[in-house]
Parts: sequence; structure tokens; C-alpha cells
Amino acid sequence: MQCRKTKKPSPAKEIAYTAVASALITGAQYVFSFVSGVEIVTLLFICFSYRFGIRDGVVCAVAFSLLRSIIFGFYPTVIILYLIYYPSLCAVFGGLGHVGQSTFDKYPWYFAVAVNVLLSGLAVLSAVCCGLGLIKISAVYKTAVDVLLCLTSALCAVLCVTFDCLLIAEKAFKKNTGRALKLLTFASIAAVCTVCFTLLDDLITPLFFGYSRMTALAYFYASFTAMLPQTVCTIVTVSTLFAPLNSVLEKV
Amino acid sequence: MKKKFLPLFIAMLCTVCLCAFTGCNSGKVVKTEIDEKTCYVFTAKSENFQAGATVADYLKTLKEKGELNYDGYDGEYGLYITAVDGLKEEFSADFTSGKYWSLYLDFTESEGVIYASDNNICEYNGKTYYYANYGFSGIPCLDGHSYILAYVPYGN
Repeated sequence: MQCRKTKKPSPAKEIAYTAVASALITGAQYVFSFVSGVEIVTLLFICFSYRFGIRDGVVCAVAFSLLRSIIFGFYPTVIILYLIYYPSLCAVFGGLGHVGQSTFDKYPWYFAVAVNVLLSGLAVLSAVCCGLGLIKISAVYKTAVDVLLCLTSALCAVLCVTFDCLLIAEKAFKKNTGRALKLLTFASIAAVCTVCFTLLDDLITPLFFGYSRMTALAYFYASFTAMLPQTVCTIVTVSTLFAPLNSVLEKV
Repeated sequence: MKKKFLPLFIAMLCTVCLCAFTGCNSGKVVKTEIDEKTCYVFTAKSENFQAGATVADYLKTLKEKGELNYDGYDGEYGLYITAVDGLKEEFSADFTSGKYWSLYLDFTESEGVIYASDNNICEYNGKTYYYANYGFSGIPCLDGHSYILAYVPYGN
């Protein structure tokens, strides 16, 4: 693997960029809080940490996690969740920022297997949950959850097939599909991270409030009404907006 | 002597019949106080609803029959009750405290779906009622099961 050759900004600029990014992401979360199921926080964190590295990404995530409480209120479980999840997300994509484009131009087989496992796993899991009615939720939400499960499954399946086609094009026909493969890789990792975000909340909130097993299970099932739209949103936003946003940040 | 006891006997008979009638659980809405909270208790009767009906549907039926007077609207997640018999919900300026109309059920689970949690309960007439996990439109109406519409405080 080759490291990206990017010009490292001065410490003063780093602080300024991190501060501006924290403010921008906080504002973006506030704006889209009025639109149910849509969020671009994940996309912005991915882009920022990919461009500026693990340290700046983690610092930005911690600042955001604390600052957003001024707007949305101080809820201990939310603060704990955000302080664990977003710095971890930034660490993952900050680390991926050190992976050079040449790696994606000669896509390693272990990356390909991992991406296929992630995408096909998500697709199959969503389809099974929908088909077998495993999400035991009230009828008022059931239709929406089933539709979102189908959508998630379809999106992941399409991504997986597209990824494999691009991989075959690269390996067999020597086509230059490195950038597209990188994009799909990031979209799949981001989708899994988004699922993990809700699962982490399903762990933290019941533990913090001392829920009984029944209450924790009900909370878990109800969380699908948030998890699924967020996952779909992440797949769509990262797939479509990561490249243009990244090209803008590269100029900074 | 018999003439003196006859009116007394009729009065006692009427009293017994009245008590028996009240205890019949005819599905009428009973207003009561539970843990210092104003509550309306009712039992779902199959003649008042169709299969697949929700508590919201049952409440609408009760309202049409004049047995319960409430105000509300159909929001994003179904029926939202703002007032019952003129007793309106209240909120502080920053919405950190107030009072609202909530639902308690005498069951927690039906057909695999967990409709109520055992972390918030109330007792009435020797029965335990559980705080609903969903709104009025998300809870099924089950024949013979009792529900409580409770005016509960939250926050400080």
C-alpha cells in the first residue's frame, strides 16, 4: 500500500479546518433533522476524516458530539453513543485515507471478499427479515419497515453486483475502475457502520436505563424504524456525493 | 309487619341489581384516580369493533356513542389525544416537563409483538397494567382486554 501524497496543512490551519467542519456538520444535522430519515452527518465525517486523517477526524467527531447537545439537548445516552460511534467512524475512514489509489487500481482479493461479504450479507439479512417477518413491530409501522427492508436488500444487492462487475472489468479486461471500486467499498463500509450505530444504541440505552429483557427487545425492534432509512440514506449519499465532496476537499 | 318490610326488600333488591349491573363490566368507560392520576378505564367488547381494529378505532367508537369525550388529531403515527373531558395536555415552555395522555394495557405481548413494557406499570382493581410502547393507533384492540387512558406527568 502506498500512502497518499497530500500536503499536510499547518497546525493552525488544522485547528481551523476541524472547527469549521464541526460547525458545518452540526448545522447540517440541524437542517436535516426536519426531514425524516435523511442525514448527511455520516457522509461529511467520512469525507473529512478521509481527507484530513484520523486525528483531525476524531477531534472533529468529539467536538461535534458535545456541541450538538447545545441544540438538541443533553441526553446522556445520546452523548455516550455519539462519543463512541463517530470518533470510531472517523478513525476507520481516516485510516482508509492512507490507502493509496493504486491499491484500488489493483484491487486486493481480501478487500473484494470483505466487500462482497458485507454487501451480500446485508442484502440477505434484510430479505430474510422481511420475508419471514422477523421484525416484530406494531402494524402501524410494519408496512414502512417491510418496504425499507426490501429497499435495503435491493440496494445492497445492486451494489454487490455492480462491484463484482467492476472488479471483473478491472481484473479480466484491464479497465481502469479503481475509483468506482473505491466508492463502492466506502459505501458498503459506511452502510455497515450505520447499522452498527443503531445496534450500539440498542446496547447503550437499555443498559443505561436498566431496561428489562422485554423492554430492551421492544426497543430493539422499534429501532428498525430509524436504522433502515438511515442505512438507505448512507448508501445513497456516500455512493453519489463522496467523490464530488472529496474533490472539493482535496483543493483545500 | 309484612307491609313494612316490602319496600325495604324492594330497595335492597334494586341495590343488589345495580351493583351486579355495574360489576358486569359492560364495556362502559370508568373514570377513576390511580396513583393520583386521572384515568379512564375501559374494556374492549367485540360488538363495538371489527377484527384488526386498534385502540384508536375503539376510542372513536366510544366517542361516537357518547361514552368518552376527547379531542385529538391524526398525526404522523396515528391518533394523538390532546384532551379528555376538557382536561388538556400541558407542556412547559421548553417541553422538558408537562402532562399528556398515555395508554396502559393489561397485556404486554400479542402475536409475538411486544406492545407494552414492564418497566412502567400501574395497578387497578387487582390487575396490572403496562405502559404502551406505541401510540393509540399502534395498539390492537383485543376483546375482553382492558385499557387505561391516563393523564400522566413527565419531566421535573
